[in-house]
Amino acid sequence: MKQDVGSFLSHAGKLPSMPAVFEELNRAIENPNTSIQEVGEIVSIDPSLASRLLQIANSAFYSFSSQVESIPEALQLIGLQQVRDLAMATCVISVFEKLPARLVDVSSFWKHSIACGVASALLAEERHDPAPERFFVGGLLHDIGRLIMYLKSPDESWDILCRCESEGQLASVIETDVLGFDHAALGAELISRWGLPTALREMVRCHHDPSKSQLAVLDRSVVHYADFIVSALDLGNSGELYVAPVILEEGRRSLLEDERLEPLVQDLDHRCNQLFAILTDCPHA
Amino acid sequence: MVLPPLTFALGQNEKRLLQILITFYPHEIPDAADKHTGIMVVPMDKLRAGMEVAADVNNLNGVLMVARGTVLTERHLRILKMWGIESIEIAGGEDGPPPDRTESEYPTELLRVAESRVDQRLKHVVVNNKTLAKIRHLAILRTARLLAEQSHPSSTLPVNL
Repeated sequence: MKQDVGSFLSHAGKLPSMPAVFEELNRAIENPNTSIQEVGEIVSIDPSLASRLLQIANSAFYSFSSQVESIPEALQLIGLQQVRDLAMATCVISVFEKLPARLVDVSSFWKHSIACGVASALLAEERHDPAPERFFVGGLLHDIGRLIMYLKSPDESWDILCRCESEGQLASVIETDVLGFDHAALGAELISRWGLPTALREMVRCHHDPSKSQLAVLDRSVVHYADFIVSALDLGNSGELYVAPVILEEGRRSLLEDERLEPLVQDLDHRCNQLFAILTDCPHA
Repeated sequence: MVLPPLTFALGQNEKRLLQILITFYPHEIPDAADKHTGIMVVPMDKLRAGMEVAADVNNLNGVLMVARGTVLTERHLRILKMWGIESIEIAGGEDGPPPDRTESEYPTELLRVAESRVDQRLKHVVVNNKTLAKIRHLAILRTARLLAEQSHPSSTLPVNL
């Protein structure tokens, strides 16, 4: 039944919510009077969040030359905003722990999402962006709409998957035909409802079509391009049979020079393995 | 020429001299490999992301740049190059760095299968410029490697997703 994305979510029943610790963390970081010490204390309330943040700080994602041993140290080295972004990532993954297995290979879904997150961060680093973590979260959550679709509309999701295969069509096209919106729009709406930053919502909403994004020109194609690279290389899978078309902005400095592609892919491989194990609590198979 | 073995502790100056000598006499590198401790001295242009550093890397001022045990990333390589480091000790010895694979290393039939899989997935993408062609090429090599691994599992191939 076709409807707009807002009504879909309103009628979807209870939506998964972000863990309370994240909301408290967000409030604390938004408040300029909060000290690093206080932020550290909030993070430490949730031992699994604290432990994941430390593991990430010590992983190949950062490659600091010495061991990060405490949360305050991680906050100093990585930065408050960046830790908030990482906490967001780790909280969202914890939200979707139970998913219908016949619709999606959960492990493969997160592999794809994490790879896209890392690729987005790497593309941002190539441009010497001072806070690539926000792109990491954007890449990580870009397909979150699919998860909500699988959770709340399993029958339609199954229909959509079958039609994609029989018609040889892209998911977004069939989704729009069946539901009235695609996974990008649904994911963006969910992010809005969670009160997460607008920039993040835009990255998710426009990951197939950056031209409609409200973000700056150099920022808006990052997740889009990262998703393309990761899909083309078949790094995990979020339920898509085909690689969606990519729009490479012309006439402007490109996101990545051709000769940087191969080194980026190697770096991507290396950082992904560890991160996958940390964020999903699964040993890499 | 014979280079000193790496089994005794080298001072800063000896290490630096060794690095310079290795740069000028690259053919000696297999002799410099210490097979007992599995350490190999690798010149800058052969360094790759994913290699593990076998000994602390200091710059000319003695400041620690990369600690022993660190696995190199592209960022490390850029910084090392900037600081004019010529070579560093890499753990791994006989296994060595993962080989650079090109098409010539795969059987034609395998490549054909890889190519057709990739083109099927790229059905909705118009590959009409160098960048897209490059990505398609990398995808084909990766698929070929996975197909090759499935038929001949090997422990020296790097693990990835």
